[in-house]
Amino acid sequence: MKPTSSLFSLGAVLGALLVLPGCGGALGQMDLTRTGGAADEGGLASALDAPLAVGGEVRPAIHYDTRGSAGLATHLLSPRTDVVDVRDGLLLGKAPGTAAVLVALDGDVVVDFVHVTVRPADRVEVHGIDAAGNDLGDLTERVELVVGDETRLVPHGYAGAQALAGVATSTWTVEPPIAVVLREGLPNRVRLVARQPGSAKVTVTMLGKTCSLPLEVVR
Amino acid sequence: MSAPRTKLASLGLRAATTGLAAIALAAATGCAPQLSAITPAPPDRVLELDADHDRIELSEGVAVAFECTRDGSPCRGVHGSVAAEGVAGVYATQLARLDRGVFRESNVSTLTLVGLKPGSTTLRVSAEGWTHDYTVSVVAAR
Repeated sequence: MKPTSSLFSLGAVLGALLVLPGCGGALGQMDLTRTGGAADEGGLASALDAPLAVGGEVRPAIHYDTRGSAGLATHLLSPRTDVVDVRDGLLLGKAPGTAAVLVALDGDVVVDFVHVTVRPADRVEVHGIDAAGNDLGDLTERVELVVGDETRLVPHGYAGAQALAGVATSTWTVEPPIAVVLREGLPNRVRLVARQPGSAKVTVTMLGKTCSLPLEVVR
Repeated sequence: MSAPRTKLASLGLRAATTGLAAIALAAATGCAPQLSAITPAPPDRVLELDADHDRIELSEGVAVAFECTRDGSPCRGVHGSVAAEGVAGVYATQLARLDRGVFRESNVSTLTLVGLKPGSTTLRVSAEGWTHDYTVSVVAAR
């Protein structure tokens, strides 16, 4: 290899190392795509690692990776509020599309940005949550409880095989009412508490989609 | 003075004028702030900077960060403005990364341009008393 060619290759590699951003923000100064610890399913704070549901809300967990600086005083800006809007640090999915969300300092000086894709949910699935708050995935079998027993549930919007980011207000019914649904103070995480023996259908509606699962309560 | 000599002198004058104009244009272009893109478009979206024709094409909703240099060094006090604010938006941007320029070192001088809706506008980049206009075309997402 000629010396000039070697130098050029070395320069290209060094240049790429200097320019390539980390994961998440386009400028590599922050990351909105990873969680900080245990998944807080049903909470607003979340990794923005999936398309945002139309009608869904998410508070992206921002991890700063700005060279030489600790956490910066930032806020979110959306130039395309018709696709994704910002309210009190929440991102709101408004309409299908892809739009940049800017992370800015005072004076709207941009320090990084991500492109957020917004998709409508084509269905809702109910996930189980274990005692530690971990997501067990979508429930595919009948839920069986003993009278007085309870289980935690959270609905998620899906588009095809992909679970969407963002939560929304959900409504729950149990018919016949052999169990009650208790809110946990988070947008869509609930506890299902068995009250009397029997069979019932638990139905949840969120993001304009409905999902039902069978419930069996035994004494 | 004979006619051929007059014509020759006229041609020489015209060539000199043209040459001076070309040198002046080259000097002005060389002194004006120059943009280069430092972030890509997301998948299935468009970003193209044609530096030869001062044209930028990007998809609606897409943001792109540009590095600004002048005379081989980072621009000082760069400022961007767009003529049609409904078509595109431009934001001051700060990047915690050094630019080791030819004559001066400082943080990379950066601007972020966002395509808002399909249409055409002009991005004017100003730095140290020099300006550079780019034609911006925002295209609809496919």
